[in-house]
Amino acid sequence: MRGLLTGTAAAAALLALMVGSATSANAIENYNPVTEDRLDNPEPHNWLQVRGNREGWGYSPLDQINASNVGSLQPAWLFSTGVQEGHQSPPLVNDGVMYVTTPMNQVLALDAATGKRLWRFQRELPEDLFQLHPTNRGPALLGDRLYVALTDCFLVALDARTGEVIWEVAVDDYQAGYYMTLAPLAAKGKIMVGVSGGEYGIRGYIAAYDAESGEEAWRTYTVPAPGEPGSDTWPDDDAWKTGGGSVWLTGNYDPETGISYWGIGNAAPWMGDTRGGMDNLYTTSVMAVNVESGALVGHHQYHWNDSWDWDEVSPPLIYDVTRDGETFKALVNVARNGHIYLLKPTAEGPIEFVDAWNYVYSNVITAFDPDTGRVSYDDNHWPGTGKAALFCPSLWGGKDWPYSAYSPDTGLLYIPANENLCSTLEGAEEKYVPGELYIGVPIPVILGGFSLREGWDHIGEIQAWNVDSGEEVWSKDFAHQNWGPILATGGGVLFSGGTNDHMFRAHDAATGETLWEYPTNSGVTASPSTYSVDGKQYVAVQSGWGVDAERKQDVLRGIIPGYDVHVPQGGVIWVFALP
Amino acid sequence: MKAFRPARSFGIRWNRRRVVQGVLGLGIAGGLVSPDAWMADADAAEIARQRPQDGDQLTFFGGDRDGEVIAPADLSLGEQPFIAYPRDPSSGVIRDGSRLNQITLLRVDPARFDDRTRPGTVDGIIAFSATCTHQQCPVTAWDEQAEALFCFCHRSRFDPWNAGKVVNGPATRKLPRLPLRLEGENELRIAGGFSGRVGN
Repeated sequence: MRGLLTGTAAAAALLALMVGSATSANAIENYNPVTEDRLDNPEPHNWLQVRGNREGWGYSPLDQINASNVGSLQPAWLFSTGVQEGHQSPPLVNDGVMYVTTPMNQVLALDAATGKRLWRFQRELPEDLFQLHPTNRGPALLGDRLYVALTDCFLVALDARTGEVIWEVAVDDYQAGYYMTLAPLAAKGKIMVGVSGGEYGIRGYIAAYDAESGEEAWRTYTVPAPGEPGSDTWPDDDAWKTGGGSVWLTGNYDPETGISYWGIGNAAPWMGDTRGGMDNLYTTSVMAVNVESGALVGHHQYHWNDSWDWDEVSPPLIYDVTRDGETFKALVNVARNGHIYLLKPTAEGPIEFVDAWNYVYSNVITAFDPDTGRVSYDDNHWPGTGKAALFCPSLWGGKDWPYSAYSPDTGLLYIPANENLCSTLEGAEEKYVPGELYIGVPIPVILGGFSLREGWDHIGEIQAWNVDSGEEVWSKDFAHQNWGPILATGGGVLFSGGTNDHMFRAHDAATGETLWEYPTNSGVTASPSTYSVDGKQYVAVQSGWGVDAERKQDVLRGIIPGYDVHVPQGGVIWVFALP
Repeated sequence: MKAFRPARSFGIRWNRRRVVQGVLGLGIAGGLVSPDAWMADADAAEIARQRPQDGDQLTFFGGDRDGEVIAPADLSLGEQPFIAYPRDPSSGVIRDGSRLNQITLLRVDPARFDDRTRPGTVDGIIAFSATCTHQQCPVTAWDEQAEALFCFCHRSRFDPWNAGKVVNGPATRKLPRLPLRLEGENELRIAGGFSGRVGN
């Protein structure tokens, strides 16, 4: 009878949750299907995937808007999303049709030239859902469909022409703390997603679904079960079952090898001594996953036994780097732990360590093994259960989720960084309860633990690095935090927001000089994109403050005397063009 | 439209152990599952899903005293709030069938209550919905500096002395109250439903 009860309840829950709906005023005719060849070789006039290309560059070769004329940029059209919280998704554009995801499980299809609404989809959230990160980082386009990974942990396939639901699948149980923030990755006929929820003690994984049918193809866990490779880096208890390892961002992908690269979050709970003081693979790592099979074919752990909440969320960028006279395809990652990592992938999967160096002040990592890249720690800055320790950078790291960018024109890596903020944490024992926060650090301790370094004069930065030489070329400071993903263009311009003054800005990619800025409705923490329609270039971005930018703003109000800036919430899609 | 069942079954969740406690409270023996037990199980689940009722007790959620009934003496001035669930005293079922039933319970200085807030408090003990009106995160912390209830997720703050009004943060609506009363001399009871819509 218990089985009957569970089954009945499950069916009721599933039916109750099938509530997504589209309002379709204008079905899109003559839609240009997004083939995998188009994703592998994206046209300059479109923005078909969250970072513009498979390799995660955040770069467009469009140059109509350039360093000499960007000062004349002005709004072309705006569209209010109607919802609050952190808007982080880049507008995708396919031949004049724009697709935007927002918080609250919403997808909008708009005319990219005029802003006219073509259709809107929204899936009602369950009444008891709560999440730390009620955001969405974008859809995926493949064929004539749009795929979106939702806050209530559903993956939905929509007809890109009408917004009608084609299939939907519950990837996992939101009531157990599972949710999704990332844009799916579409490759080899599969739609890949990863789950978040490390702060609830989930066990993370990347999962692939058949793009046509929605049937699950494979599921690769970020925390191995006993007996699986890497399980010897976990204690001989049940810690792995609640071991965290969230997957917050879309993996980057090398079409030549069929391998995807994913940034894996920190382990749960936060303090490493609760996990045996062991390495805890594959948390805080890059995982190399074969897209066809789901096989884990390589990895590199940026730092072991995380105790600092340094989710290594970012997938590495893939581009050619020259070191010691040798040019090779590299994985370049800007880690939350405050270091840039230069890694060398292989066609078979294993990843070699080449180099790493800090880009913000760091007092935790003291050395890298030159062969393996394994880090050493300063024990004075390593918190534990019942052991308080101050560490820099703060738990938000030198760079959190906002994307870095790479421009093949300048050869530079651009980082939205945060400097001078530190944290103090001290863990306490906590029992796991499904669906409840499982952090292992009392909330008042987290909140009261932030501090600024003595003599600080700014926090936010954009940094430009030459990874060939390992040298910083320029750095631009902002008074307070920077939560702005970066778009680089062929016009020699970087577009980014991220500050708490509502501004969306253009910077000279060669020098960092600010060339243009525009005050938006809220704060810009979304990823910008650029495209052209009928030969006219546009730059698009959502403005809508929330999530961790809101949290950090509150922290700064508490630790900077006399500072009391509040950023209003509410999302607007802004599209700019030359007059 | 095609819908796939998830790889695992996701039932409507309630705490199985608590339901079993409830069933035992109804006087039905555990052990072998019989049709009677099935009905009792379903009844218990229904009770667990109901919102707090007048006369309900409050029980600890989490920690060493998980499930125990809370007495006024358990709450001290200056301590962090407890998260509690209501308990139906007649069946013994803890109403944890929905996380929207979570209650944040704390003791503050009773002299500072405004006139509309004081009724429904017991010697400084006051109860609110623990579900933030912004994005439904648990309001589980006390911010000593701001003297306010605090949501960790997105950092909204609520004033306990002024009926849970928003102090700052992204929330725009006050935290719903849950009135309390004493039964006899020393039993803390819920005195009615939430004062407003729970959650966002």
